[in-house]
Order: sequence, then C-alpha cells, then structure tokens
Amino acid sequence: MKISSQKWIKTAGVLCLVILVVGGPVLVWWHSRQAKAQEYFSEALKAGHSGQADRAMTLLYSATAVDPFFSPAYSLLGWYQFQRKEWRRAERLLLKAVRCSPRNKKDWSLLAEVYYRQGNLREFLSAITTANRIDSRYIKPYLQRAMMHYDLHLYELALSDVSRALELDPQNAAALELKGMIARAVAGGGQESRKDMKYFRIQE
Amino acid sequence: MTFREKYKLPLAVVFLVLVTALVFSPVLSNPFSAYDDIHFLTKNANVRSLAPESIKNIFQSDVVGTYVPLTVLSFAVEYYFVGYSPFLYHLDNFLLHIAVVLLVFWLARRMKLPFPAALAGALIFAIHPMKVESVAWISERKDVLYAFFYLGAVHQYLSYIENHRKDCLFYSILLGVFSILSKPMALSLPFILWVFDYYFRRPLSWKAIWDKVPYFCYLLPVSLLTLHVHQYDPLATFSDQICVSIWTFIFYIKKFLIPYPLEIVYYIPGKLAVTNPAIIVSSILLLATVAAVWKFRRHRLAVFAFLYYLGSIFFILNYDLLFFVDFSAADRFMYLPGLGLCFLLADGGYRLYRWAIRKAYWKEVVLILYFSVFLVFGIKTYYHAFLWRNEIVMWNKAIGAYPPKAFLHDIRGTVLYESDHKAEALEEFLMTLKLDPSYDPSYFKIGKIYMDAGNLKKAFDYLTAAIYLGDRKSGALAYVRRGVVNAEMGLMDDALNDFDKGLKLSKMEKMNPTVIYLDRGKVYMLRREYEKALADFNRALRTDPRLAQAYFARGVVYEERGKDGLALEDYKRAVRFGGDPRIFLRVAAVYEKKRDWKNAFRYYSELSRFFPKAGWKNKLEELQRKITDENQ
Repeated sequence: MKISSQKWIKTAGVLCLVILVVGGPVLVWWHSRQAKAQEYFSEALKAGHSGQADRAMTLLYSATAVDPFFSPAYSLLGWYQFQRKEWRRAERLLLKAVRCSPRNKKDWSLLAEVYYRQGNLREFLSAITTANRIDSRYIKPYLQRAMMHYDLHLYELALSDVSRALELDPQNAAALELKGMIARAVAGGGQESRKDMKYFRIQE
Repeated sequence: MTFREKYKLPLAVVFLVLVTALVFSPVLSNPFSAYDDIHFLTKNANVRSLAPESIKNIFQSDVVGTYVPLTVLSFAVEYYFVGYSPFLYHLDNFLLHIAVVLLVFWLARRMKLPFPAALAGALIFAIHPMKVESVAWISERKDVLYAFFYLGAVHQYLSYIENHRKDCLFYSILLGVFSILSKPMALSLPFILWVFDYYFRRPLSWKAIWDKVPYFCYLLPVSLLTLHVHQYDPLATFSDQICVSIWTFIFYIKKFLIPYPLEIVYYIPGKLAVTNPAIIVSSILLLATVAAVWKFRRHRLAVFAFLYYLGSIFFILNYDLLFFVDFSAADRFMYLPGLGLCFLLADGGYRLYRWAIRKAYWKEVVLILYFSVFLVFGIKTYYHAFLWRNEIVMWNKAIGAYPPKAFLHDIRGTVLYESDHKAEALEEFLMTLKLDPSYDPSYFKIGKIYMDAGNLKKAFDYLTAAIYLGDRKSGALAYVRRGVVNAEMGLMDDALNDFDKGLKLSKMEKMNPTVIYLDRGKVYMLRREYEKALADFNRALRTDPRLAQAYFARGVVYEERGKDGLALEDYKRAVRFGGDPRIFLRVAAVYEKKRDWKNAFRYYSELSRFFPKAGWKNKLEELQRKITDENQ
C-alpha cells in the first residue's frame, strides 16, 4: 500500500499540535521546579556555613529530587561525601554533576581525586585530562597528575607536570614541595619496593 | 550486432582491470605497516590459528575499538597459507579492489548511465588517489571487503526490486551481514537502499519499509557493540558536533574533487568554534551544495549522488568527537561514500562531451581535459601507493603539516620502533606523553623499549603504569611484559604472578594467550618445573602451531629430561618455522651426545654457513676425524 504525501503532511501537523499543547505547560512546570531547587540550594549553603552538614545534605538531596539536572547540588553533595570518605557515593554524585554540567573543571578535578582514592588510575587520568582540557591554566590537575606519576616512580614525567605547574605559579607551595620530593626520590636512586602497588587497582 | 557493440562490454572490463592493476601495482611489493597492521595482524595472536578456539576469539573481540571479525578471519586464512609474508595480503586487497571496481561498473550499467559515463564513473572510482589508503594498507582490508559485500547486497536488492524474487532479498540481507562484520561503516546499508528506491522510482510503501526491517535487526546489535567499545568525548557539545559535521561533510567533497595534498589523517584547522574561518567557509559551501541540489532536484542522478553521499558518510561525520579519536578525517572513510559523486562527475562529463561534439574544436579540448584528469589521478595514485612503502616519510609529512599532536608522535614512534630505531622511538613516545599524558599506550611502549635496552628498573615502572592506566587488553600485555622483566631480574614468583594475572585478563578480553603460555613455560623451565613447562608449551602450540620459539623451548625440556629423539624433532620443527639458526647448535650437540658423528658434522656445517666467523674449523675437523675412525 502506497503512503500518500497528503497523509504524511496531516500526520506531521497533528504531531506539531500535540507538541505545542503538551510542551507549553511542561515548560512552565519545569521552570518552577528549577526555582524550587535553587531555593533548596541556597538554604543548603547557609546550613553548610553554619556547620550543619547533615541538614545541608538533606536540602541538597531535596534540590536534586525536584530538579534532577541541578548540577551545583550534585557537586556540593559530592564534596560532602568526599569529606566523609564515602568514595563510591562521591563518585556517583560527581558523575551526575559532570553529566549535567560537563565544563566544570573543579568537578572533574574532584572526581579525579575520588578515583585516585579508590585506586582507579585509568579513570583518574581520564578525568584529570578533561579538567586540563577545559582550562589549561588550571594548576590543580598538573599537581594531581604529578602525584600519580610520582607514585608510579615515573619521576621524569612527574617533574614535567610540576614544571608546568610552576610555570603557571612559581610560588605554588604544593608544587615546590612535590618538586623537592621528586628530587629526593631521584637522588635516592629509586630504592622503593618494586612490588605491585596494592592500593591501585586494575581495570576489572 | 556490430563488432563494437558485441565486444565493448568485455573490452571495457579488461580495460578497467588493466588500468586499475597498473595504477595500484606498487602496493604488491609493500611491506606491512606499523600503523594498525600490528594490531590487526602482525601482533594479533588470534590470526595465527584457524582452530575453533581462535575463530571464536575473533568473533568475540574487537581490534582497536572496531568490531571487524570477518576482516580478521580473512587475515587468519591468509596467515594459514603464507604466514607473515606481505605479498598475499596485499594481493588480496588489490584483487578485492578490482572486484569492487567491476561491481561499481555493473551498478552504473544497471542505473542506466550511458556506456561511456558508466565506464568513466567506474574508472574515477578505480584510480582516485583517495582510494590508495584502502588498497595499500593491509589493515584497510576492512574497506575493500565491506565494499565488496555492500555492493553485492545492493545488487541483490536491485534484483529483488526488478524481479520480485525473495531469494535475492535473502542474499542481499546475508551479504549485508557479511559487510557489517567486515566494517561497521556498512551501517548505512538500509538507508542507501532507500536512496536506490528513490533512483529506481520505487514508491514509498509499507512493503518498501518492511523490506528494510531485517537489515535493521542485525545492524542494531553491531552498532550498539561498536558504540559500546568506543569512548565518548564528555566535553563535545551539540554545537561542536554541528561544526565538525559541516566541516567534515564539505572536506570530503573538496578532497574528492581536488585530491591534493594527501595526508594519512586530517585535522580541522584552528579551534573548534563557529567563528573558525574553515567552519564558516564550509557552512557557506554546504548551503551552496544544498541550493545546487535543490536547483537540480529533477535530475535524479544529482539527487541520488547527494543522498548516497549523505547517507553513507553521515555516521562518521562526528567520528572524532563521538569516538574520541585524534583526527577528524581520513581518506579511507571516502572509499565507498564517493561512489555517487563518481557517477555524477562521469555523467556530467559525458553531457559536456555530447555538447562539445556539436562545436568546432571543443570536442578535442574536452577530450584532452578528460585524458589529463585521468592521467593526473593515475599518476598521483601510482606515486601515493609508493609512499606507503616508506611509512616514516609519510608520518613525517603528516607531522610537518599540523601543530604537535600526541597521536602523530605515537604512531611515528611505533613506526620507528618496528624499524628498529629504538632510541628515536623512545624520544617520540616521551614526546607523546609530554603532549598528552593521558595517552596510555605510550607507557607500555616506553616500558618495552627500556626492557629491550636492559634497563629493567625503568621498564618495570613504565609497565606498571601501563597496567594501571591502560584498558584490560593493554593491561594483559603489560602484565606479560612485566612478567618477563621480573623473570630477568630473577624474581620468578613475581613473574609467575604477573603471567597469571595477564592470563586472567586475556581470557576476559578473549585474547589469544599463546605468548603468555610461552613466557610462563620458560619461567617454569628455568625453575626446573618441567611438567608445568611442557603443559604451557603444548598449550601455546595448540593456539599457534607454527610457533618456532615454543618448539625450541619444548625441545630443550625434552632434552633436559633425556628424551633426545623428541627434542631433535622439536628443534627441527623450530628451524622449519623460521626459528633462530643457532638451534642447529642444540641439534648438533644432541647428535654428538648420541655419538651420531655424521649428523653432528652436518649440523655444525650448517651452523658454520650461518656464522662463518665463529671458528667451527676445529670442531668440524674433530668430527671428520671421528667419522673416519668409525668408518675404519
């Protein structure tokens, strides 16, 4: 059976009408949810400043419940879970944060840190590279990567990262300290154990 | 029927075959390429056996993020016959390209293009310089194989709509399955069949839709698998995707019309932004192309060429962003998508010729123009095929054409490593990590270079980094190499531990474990655990029955256990499968032990032939004396 062009046009017209009728109210409803989420977030910030971390977290969860795409709430929740050393929860929340707002370099950097704490170096490196791509003048990813290279005994690569960090900020205390650590390790001739690093895990 | 009419078709076929063969003849003597051939072929243990286990592995694993089991299986068949001799691999690519050219010519005839236009269209397709990559590069067997099945599927579909024969539809679907198992680009097949429906004026009906459903049924799982094994760029925005798509769409058309300069990969010049002049120019050209197609919308071939190109290139327009690879375009992606443009160009040329024959002198001018275009294309293709012989020159050219890119340095490093320039290769890999420290394959490669150079401490560190930073596949390889490093440092328990972990990962990734069994067997051998060593060598030989090293190692174990007969058999097999001639020394020693002076003399003589400066004279004289004494 041949489908006539008139039938196609009619179907397309009806579809457009349905989209208009349903879409308008949905948009209005969605906007009100976003405003509510923002409200919860502001309250959470206040609670956090006054040291009520639990209340802040409850408010942040409420913000994500009303607006599942509200990335600042996920970021802050990820930070709280990171502070509590709840790595898996922090990872899940920060992943949601970067999915909602992929160009937030601080979230990527914190996510990398979470991966590192879990020993997942592959994901760590991927997250750190993304943070670096967003802003190549952001110093933290260089230091995080230098630390990883240091832990893997790849001192020339660690030094290269530290040098880049020092180019951006010659007085950076963390970079200077790391540089000293690398120099001591190189001078020591790498006397460390050459066994497996049990605290890192492979891709399984 | 005149002589001309009777023989024009066979003559055209012979002409196409001869011209294509001549233009691509340099590829036949090319070596293997270090760029991807090592992943697909020379270092892919799965191709070294046609045992059911290996074939199962081929169908259950991807190669560098691409699911191409039929292509890998074709390599396995070739390996079975000739091992690692590149001629047959190149010959098969070459023959497949010729077959594709003939299918293109047949398609043009079925599309009722005038005979000269059909011939010219097939000729443009055959000798276009952008085709070199697909023919000269063994790994791009993917292209010629998928195109062969793809066009076969199209022909069967056309037979189906002409004759309404269900068996033709079945064959078309089957060939489509083969096509997508050769390269995921065959994903476009059902859409392209719609384009053919349009060209052949098949009305849009439920039946026409229903006919395409089986194609989608098998395309869907393969597409999902392909997407699953690739990594997405988390920062790619919708506007980035649009920019890349527009640039790539126009880039391939430009390259098709003016194939100069040709590089192995292409990057978008400048930053990826709407304000980039390259993107602005491409957008204008895209609008002009759409306007031109609209203007000529009654010209069915023009619309067909546009839709065919759009349909077949659509899925790779965002290749770099979607799959997070390091380049935006490459000649090989234009192998089949350029087909409609070849027909359009040829048809336009034919129309121009028809117009010119009515004007004085113009006919000669047009003919000279066509001849020049074909000549330039032919010469460019011929020399570009030569360029594939020296990969370093090719990569140097690409590196010179673009700002520093980690990917280009990594590949140049690999090419240098494979051609035994290890110091330069090390510099390239270090440069790669300097440009992009997340480029994890370089950690493994640096580790290997340090291992070859005997710097075991550094090799250990880089291989450890490769284990943690790489994916499971490279993790398995890194464990094996680190196992060897540990064994060389005398840490046998650590070495065995690494081999076991490598084995576990390789099983998870459906990788061929031959090398792991071989290396672990050697460690067992050093620990005098001969039963375990023998078991490992036997396993290695089951998956690769031509592995000279395994025969040699098993021979040593047999010899240690006093089974000289079995040892001799294995040593001889090792030599037959290209093992080191020093094995003759072991063979000669066994014969000497057995007091078989004649054979010992024979093998020492062989040894003196390979190593004339080693001073075998005394030994040979001593054996000669013993033979004489024995005879007396």
